[in-house]
Amino acid sequence: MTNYILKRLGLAVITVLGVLLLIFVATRMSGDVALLMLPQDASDEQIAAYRARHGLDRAIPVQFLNFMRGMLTLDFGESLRYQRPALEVILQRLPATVELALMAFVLALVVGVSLGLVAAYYRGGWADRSIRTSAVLLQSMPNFWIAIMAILLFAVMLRWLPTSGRDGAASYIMPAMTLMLFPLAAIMRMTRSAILETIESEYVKFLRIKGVSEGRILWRHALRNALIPVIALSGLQLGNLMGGTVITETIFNWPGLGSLMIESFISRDYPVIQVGVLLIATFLILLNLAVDLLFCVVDPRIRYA
Amino acid sequence: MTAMAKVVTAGALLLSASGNALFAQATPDNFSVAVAEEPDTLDMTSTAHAPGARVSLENITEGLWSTATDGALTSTVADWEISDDGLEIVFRIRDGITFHSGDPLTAEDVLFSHNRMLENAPQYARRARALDAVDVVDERTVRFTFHTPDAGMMPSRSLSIVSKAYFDRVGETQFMRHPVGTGPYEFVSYTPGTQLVLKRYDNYHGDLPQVEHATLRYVREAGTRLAQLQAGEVGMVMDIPYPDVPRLEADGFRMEYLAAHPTIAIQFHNLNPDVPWYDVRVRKAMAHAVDRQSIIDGLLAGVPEVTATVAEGELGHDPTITPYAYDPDRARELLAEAGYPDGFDLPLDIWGGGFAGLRETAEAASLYLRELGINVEVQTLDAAQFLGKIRNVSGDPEGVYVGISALPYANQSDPIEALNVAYTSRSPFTPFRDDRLDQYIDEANALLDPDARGEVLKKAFGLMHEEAAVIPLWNFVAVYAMDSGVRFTPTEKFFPVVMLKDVSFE
Repeated sequence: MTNYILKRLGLAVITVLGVLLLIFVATRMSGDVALLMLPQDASDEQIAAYRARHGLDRAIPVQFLNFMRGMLTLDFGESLRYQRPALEVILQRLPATVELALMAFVLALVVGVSLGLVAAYYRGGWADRSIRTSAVLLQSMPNFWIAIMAILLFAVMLRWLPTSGRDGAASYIMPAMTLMLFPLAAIMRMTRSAILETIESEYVKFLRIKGVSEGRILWRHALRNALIPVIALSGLQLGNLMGGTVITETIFNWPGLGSLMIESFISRDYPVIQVGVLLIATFLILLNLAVDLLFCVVDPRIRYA
Repeated sequence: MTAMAKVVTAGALLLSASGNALFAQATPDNFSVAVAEEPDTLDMTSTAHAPGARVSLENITEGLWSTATDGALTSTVADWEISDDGLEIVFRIRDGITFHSGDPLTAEDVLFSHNRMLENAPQYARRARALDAVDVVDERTVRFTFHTPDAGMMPSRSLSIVSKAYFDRVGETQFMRHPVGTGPYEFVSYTPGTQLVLKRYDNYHGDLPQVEHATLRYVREAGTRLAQLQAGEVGMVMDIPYPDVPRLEADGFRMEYLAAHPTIAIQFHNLNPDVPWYDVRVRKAMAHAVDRQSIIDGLLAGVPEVTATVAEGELGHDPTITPYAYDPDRARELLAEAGYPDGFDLPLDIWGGGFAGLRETAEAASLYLRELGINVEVQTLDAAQFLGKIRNVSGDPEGVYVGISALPYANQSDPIEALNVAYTSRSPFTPFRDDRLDQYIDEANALLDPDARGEVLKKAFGLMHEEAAVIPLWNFVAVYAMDSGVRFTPTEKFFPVVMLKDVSFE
C-alpha cells in the first residue's frame, strides 16, 4: 500500500512537471508579453530591455530551469501585470475559489446522494420521475445561462440576493447553487442507478428472502456498495467543478482563481499562470489519488499492490 | 461574452418590469460605481496600463496637466510657460497644495514623479522621448527641457504627481499599497478583484466635490454591471454595451456619452506590390462596399458615430472631407478598374483582444466585402498575437496584412498622438507608410501653435483619406448609465474615466 502511494506520488510529480512545461512553452510561443506591457509603438530596444529585465530573453529551457530553481525556494517570480509576487497574487484569490467550490461540492454530494436514494426507493413513482426529469434539465442547461437568469430573478426582480461579489453570506448563495447544479444532477443519477443495480443483485434477493425490510436493505446494504462508483464520480465532479468556477466567477464577479487565470492568460502574465497551473494540476492529481485511496476505505475488497 | 450580454438583454426584456430605477440608493455619502477595468497597480507612476489605471486612480493622483473638454490644456496644480522655440516649459506650482499624507507639493515631487514614471511607466517613457531633462529650479519651479519641440508631449499623457517625502518615509512597499496624491479623493482600502474604496479629501485645494464616500467596484462582465445598476447596488456603471442603451433609457436611467479613443477601422498594409490592396482603387472599393450606418444602427443601437478622419472640433478636422459613401456599384467599378472584376482572396485579421461591438462589426463588414466577390477569410487573433503581427508586417515589403482593429485615430487627446503611434514610418507599429505623410507628421510635431499644427494635420488626414490608408467604421463612445437622480459631466476630453468630482446629485 505504502509502495503504491509512493509510486503514485512519484507519478504525480512527473505529471505536474509535464503540465507545467507544456503551459510554460505554450504561453511563451503564443504571444509576446512585452508587446502587451509596453506601448504599441515601443522601440525594439525598449522591448529587448523589457525581456532582459524579466529574464525572457533567455532560451526557453533556461527560463524553465530558472523557474524550477525558484520553485524550490517558493520564489515563483513577480506578476508582470500586478508587479507583486505571483504567489501572493494567487494566494489572495485562492480562498474565494476554495470556499465556493467546497460549498458547491458538499451541497451537490449531500443533496445528490439523498435525491438519488429517494428516486431509487420510489423507483417508477412520481418522485423518481420528477427527480430524473429535473436531472436531465439541470445537466442540459448551460450554467452561465442559469447564472444570468438567477441574477435577473433573485437580484434584479425580487431583490432578495446581491447580484454579485463576495460580501456576506447571502452573496454565496447564487454562485454556489449555480456551480452545484451540474455535479448535483450527475451524482443524483449515478446514485440512483448504482443503488438500483445493487438492489437487483443476488445478495439483496437473499436479504429479502430472509425478510429484511426494504428500508434496511437500502440503508445498510445497498447504499454502501453503491457508494463506490458514486465516490469515483464525485471526485471527477470536483475536478469539473473547478473548471466551472471560471464561468461562474466571471458572471458573479467572484474574486477567485478562475477569473484571475482567465485574465492572466489574456495578458500573458506568465508567472501567475505558472503558479496557478501548478496549484490546480497538483490539486487535481492529488484528488484523483485520494479518490482511489477512498475506495479501499469504503470497500475492503479493493487492495492496491 | 457578448452572447451572454445578449441573453441578459433578452431576459431583461422578458422581465422588463424589473428595470426601474426607483429603489436605487446612490447618495453623496455612499456612492458606488461599477467599472470594467481594474488598475494593475495603485501607483499611477508605475502603471503599465495607464488607460485602465486612470479610470480609478485619477481620483487620487492628479496630473501635472490634463486636457479639458474643449481641448485646451489645463492644470489643477500648476501654471506654465512655454519658451518661444518650444524647447523649454517652466512649471510653477501653486500655493497650498498638499498630498493626502500632509506633505506639501513641491518641485522635488515633480522631479521624483518624472523619474519614477521614466523608470516604471513605459507609456510615459515613450512619450517623453523629446525630453532632455527635468530640473528643479526652486522649491516651486520645475523646468522641462526638450531637444526638439514636441507638440504631442503635453496633450498625450500626463505626468502623475506622487510625493517624494511620503515615499522616503514609508518605503516602496507601503507606497504601492497605500497611494497618496493631491487629488480630491483619499485612498481607504483596496480588495483585489473586488473594489477600491475612497473618501473625499477635505483639504483638497480645488472645489470640494459632492460625493463623500465612494466605492469603485471592478466587474468585468457587462451583463453583471447592468444587473448591479438595475438591482440598485450601484449608482452608476461605466462601459455599457451599445445594444443595452435603448432599454436602459426606457427604464429611466440617465445616460452620458463621451467620445474617446479608439476608432474601429479597416487598416491596410501598403508596401507589398503583389497584393490587390496595394492599389488605392481596391482600398477605395472596400471603403464604398461597407454600409457603416447599417452596422451601427442594426448592431450597435445607433450609438457610435462615423467620421471620415478626426471628429469635428479636433485639430486637423476638415469639414469638406466626408466618409466614403456606401455605394456597391461604385465599389464594383473601382474593383474592375483595378483589374479584379471577380474579386480576390483576402485574409482578414481581426483584433480579438476584446472590444465591445468589434467582432460583430468585423463579421458584418466581411459579409459586405463578400458581396463584392472578395473572398474574405477571417482570422481572429488575440491581443498579443495581433500586436506581434502588426510589428512583423510594419515596414516589410513582403508583408500581407489587412485588419479590422481598434486603432488610435479620431478622439485622441491630440491627433498628433495617433499619428505618432500608428501612421509614421518612425513607429514600428505602422503598416501603412507614405513619405508625404511622414513629412506632415514631422512638421506637425514641431508646431506648438495649435492653429498652425491644425493646418498641417488637415493635410495629413486629407492624404490618409485620399489614400484610404484606413477605413474608419465607427468611433468609440464610452457610455455611462446612472440613476435618474445622478448627474455626471465628464471634465476630461476623450478620456473615459470615473472622476467622482464630476458627479453631482439632484
